[in-house]
Amino acid sequence: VDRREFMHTPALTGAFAALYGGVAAGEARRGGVAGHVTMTALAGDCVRLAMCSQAIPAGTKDVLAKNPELVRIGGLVQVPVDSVPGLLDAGREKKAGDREQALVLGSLVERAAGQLKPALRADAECDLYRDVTLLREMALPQGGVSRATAAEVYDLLLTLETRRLIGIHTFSPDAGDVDAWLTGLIQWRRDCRALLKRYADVFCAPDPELTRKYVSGPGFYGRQDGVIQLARAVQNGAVISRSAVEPALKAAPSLSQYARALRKGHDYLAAAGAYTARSIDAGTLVRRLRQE
Amino acid sequence: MSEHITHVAICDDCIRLAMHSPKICQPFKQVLTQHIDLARMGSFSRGGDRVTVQILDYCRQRWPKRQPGDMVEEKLAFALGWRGHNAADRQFKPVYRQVEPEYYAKADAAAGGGDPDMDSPSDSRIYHDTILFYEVFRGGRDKPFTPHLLEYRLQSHPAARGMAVENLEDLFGGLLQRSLFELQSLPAGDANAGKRLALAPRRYQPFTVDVHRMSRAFYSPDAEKLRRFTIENDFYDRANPIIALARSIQRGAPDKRIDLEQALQAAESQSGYAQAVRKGYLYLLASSEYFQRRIGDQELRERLDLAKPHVG
Repeated sequence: VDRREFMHTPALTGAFAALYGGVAAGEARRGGVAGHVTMTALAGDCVRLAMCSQAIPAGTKDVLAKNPELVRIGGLVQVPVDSVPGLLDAGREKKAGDREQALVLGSLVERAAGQLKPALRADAECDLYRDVTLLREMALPQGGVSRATAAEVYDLLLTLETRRLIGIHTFSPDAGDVDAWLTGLIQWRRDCRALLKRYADVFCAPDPELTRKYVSGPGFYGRQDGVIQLARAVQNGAVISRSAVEPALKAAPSLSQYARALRKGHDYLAAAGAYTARSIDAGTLVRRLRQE
Repeated sequence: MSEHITHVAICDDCIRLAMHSPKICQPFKQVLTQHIDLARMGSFSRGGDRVTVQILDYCRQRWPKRQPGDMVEEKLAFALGWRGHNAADRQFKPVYRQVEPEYYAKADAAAGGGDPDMDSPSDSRIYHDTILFYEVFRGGRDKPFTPHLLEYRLQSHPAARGMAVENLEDLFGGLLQRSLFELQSLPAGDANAGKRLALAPRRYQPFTVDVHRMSRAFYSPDAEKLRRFTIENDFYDRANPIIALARSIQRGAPDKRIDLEQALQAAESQSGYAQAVRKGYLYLLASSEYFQRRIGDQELRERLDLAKPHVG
């Protein structure tokens, strides 16, 4: 149904449900909202590393720098690995194709998140603890301490949420299925409120047993890992010397999961950059992307 | 289009008048009380003209047999707030062009036939928000905002001490963008990857509004911009009866000297904000009459101004 035509069509009984594919009441088409913070952190850190890495060609840096928001949603677009070379080529040939290239690069960063075990968004409680670990690490650089109460942190998170809503200006309905979108948005709102409350509680008083199970036990995050220190230094505006970059990116035998994901993300971006710069062929790119 | 705070202010004031009015049906009063947060979300959603009648009809049919969990009440609240969005846009979109012609001359050229209001907002839109933040929400002391909302780095918030708030804000940006993007439908299957990539930049929600512009306008307003965008243009006047009535209801003591019908009539030629609230209330009234089957589709569409352009 043409959108404009529909706007002028007199409302018929049940038109809303019929035209938009029935009622999806109570049906969420997506997973929960935990885990997005971890993926956002990883995408942001991969871009930070790429910006100071000699292994990433200038053209790829340019695409990443111009489109950081698209990089972080790229993994949600579902890009098959075999299609990556062709899609990068197509993006290069199109007007404003850097946006599509950024999405493809984002999908590679999300692929690198495969280093996290269990996989992102497979276990909501694990996602919660990983998200809070990254919220703490990024909010309190150098392992600082917050004396805020959970109620105060919750209020801070709600305020940040409102500021970000101001930033997007308006919710944009799904062009095809408004009813399902509305159902999903109402559920999204409930999920977000519940998650922010849990973020605040865990931020202020993490359960030691669950922290051991999801964070310290599996070695999720290592503040001392060189690659993490480098990303954090870039994030917080520290002076980065050129000679410090390559050693930080070099392999170390026992890195945390997050550091391994960061390094893998960097490797994938370097491979995609090499392909775009015609230093490697499509088959080599796909092989490098398939390396675990 | 107006900004977030303006939309919420008009939504909230329309709801206050609706709760005060004997003409608005009980189901509306119920959902606007129970789900005011969803009505506010509707007020900052675009595209409402397209589906309002359909949602009202959908909710009207299901209202007698509604069940907890079927979201009929929630969707009705959202749809009513959505009308507030369109009331604000219809009122203020032409105004922004009148008060800031130099901005729109450049923006129209840059948009190349597109809608320049989809990009970073003009200063007049920013100033309207900060005036209403002060007037309607007492600088954030009234819900749903907080006094820290427009502070640079939220520096006086008790939980912000020692925290790199901008890093948190960035992570929340990703949470918001990723989770909202998941609500959008894209063609499935490996063969459609190219189509998904082409659609995604239009379906995700970019950050187009820098909240720090609002911080500057709120904490250190430019007198010349205030004059141009609010005073000369008669943006907001506490003395307008419709505004005074809404404010008295907000403070818990409705002013009995103000008659709603007379206030609505007077608002037609008063400040821009009074006109926007009047418009939003009249949309709610028409929707209420439709919900009670007292008017038909065609009259509802006309009274909701559907299909009328925002800018003439």
